[in-house]
Amino acid sequence: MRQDFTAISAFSTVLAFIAGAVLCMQVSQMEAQAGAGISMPVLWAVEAALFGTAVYVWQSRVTVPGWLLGIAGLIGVRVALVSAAGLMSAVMQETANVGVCLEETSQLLPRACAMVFALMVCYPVRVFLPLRAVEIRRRGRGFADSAAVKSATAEADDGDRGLLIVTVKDRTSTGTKAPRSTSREPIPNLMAAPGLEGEIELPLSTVLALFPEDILTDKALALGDTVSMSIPIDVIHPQLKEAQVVFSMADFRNWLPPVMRKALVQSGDSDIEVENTLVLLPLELIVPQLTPEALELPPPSPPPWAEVGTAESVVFATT
Amino acid sequence: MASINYALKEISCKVVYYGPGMCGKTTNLQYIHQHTVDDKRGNMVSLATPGERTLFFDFLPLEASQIHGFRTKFQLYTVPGQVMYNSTRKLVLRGVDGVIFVCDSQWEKMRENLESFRNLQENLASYGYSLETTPYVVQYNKRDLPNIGPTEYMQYVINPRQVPHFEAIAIRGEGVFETLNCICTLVLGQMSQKQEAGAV
Repeated sequence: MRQDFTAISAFSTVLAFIAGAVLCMQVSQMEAQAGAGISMPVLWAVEAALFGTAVYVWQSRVTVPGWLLGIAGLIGVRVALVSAAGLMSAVMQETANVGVCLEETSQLLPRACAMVFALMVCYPVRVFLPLRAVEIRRRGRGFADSAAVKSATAEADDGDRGLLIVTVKDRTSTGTKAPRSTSREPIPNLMAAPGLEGEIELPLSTVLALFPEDILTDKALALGDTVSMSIPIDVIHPQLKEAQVVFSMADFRNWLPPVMRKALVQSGDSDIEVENTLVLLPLELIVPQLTPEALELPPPSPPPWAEVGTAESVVFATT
Repeated sequence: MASINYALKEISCKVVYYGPGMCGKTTNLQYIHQHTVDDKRGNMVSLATPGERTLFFDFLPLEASQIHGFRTKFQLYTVPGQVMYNSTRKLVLRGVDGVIFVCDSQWEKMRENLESFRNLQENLASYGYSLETTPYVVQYNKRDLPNIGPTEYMQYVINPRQVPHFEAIAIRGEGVFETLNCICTLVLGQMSQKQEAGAV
């Protein structure tokens, strides 16, 4: 994230601050101060609402502390702007009464001006806001949901507790709640497999359902019903042995048809986490399209115990 | 480890059903219990939770036909499939003579099957055993369900060494005894090999 805050971002922040302070000063010296009757609590409420909305629009996945921090930062910058404007005004008027100048720049019009410029000043630094973690998007319940690293404590609250000795007649094969997990699994080696050619075609509507909601648009969803996407077999094949096929959003963008690529929300420099989101492809769409060669087994290598004669097999007396 | 009592002319072996949660290990044992003659089996002991999940293990003693005049007894165990019970799984594997690895054929369980198989290898290694020395067979269960993967793919993932494998519908008993007979044969065969080599 922080690498997205470049020298140009810093320059535009400083420039916006200077411009904002100058404009606030100019506005404060205008004769008529419209809206002077608005009470201070209302002004603060409007300001907080505006800034709160702005922070959320900038980073929809911002954490609650990050959101509050963003609002506080914007208010701080706004106060700094009107203060700078007041000080500049005092210097230019060559007056020793700085308090009067600060009072002038705290009026409605310069304050509104400062609010707008505070947004401009803070926009480039929005990349520092802490965001919620991006989860791997899975289709259905994979092993990680039930069998990845998980503590007994995590399981304790799904009602599966207590010891019960039952006889075979008491037992019925009923399902229980799926255990949970939030573990992330490593992306398998994506090196292309040599000698395998061709592509796997996937219906886009299915693939789109696995994408982060943030990047989906109505246009993309509408296109999803009519367009399909292709992924080269040689990038899928190395993952098949791991019984899961996972790619990042960035990978998917490369394979999407151009029309769909444009229809999705374009990721900005600050959306690295979205691009790194791992999407698990359903095996049932992939495996049936594979040629027998893709699932070719190595020559049998039976262990020593498998070489025993099975002529005299064990027989159980059944009813 | 398998034991041979020459005085009683009795061979005793331990077979463990291993696999991910809800794959049908207990169902296998239940079917065997229900379809073997009374005097050839003991009581099935099952330690389960109210949610019908195996909590500790299931146990079923079973007697097979006489081989070379020896009564052959098999102690069948299942392990709890849930990840958090790994110490129990490890404990059940102690002294194992043969393993039936039960896979759930449903697409969404493929990864679980693989992780469970790797878990089996790790737990065997903790006792100094390995699948190189411990007979095992693979059972692809739940073949009656609609959302299942082809056995070719399951072989590719779970059984590239191509040890004996069986398709099964444990709830209907299809493939249950075939799997059990095969592992028992392999266990006894290995025991015979070892005896000839003077290891037993």
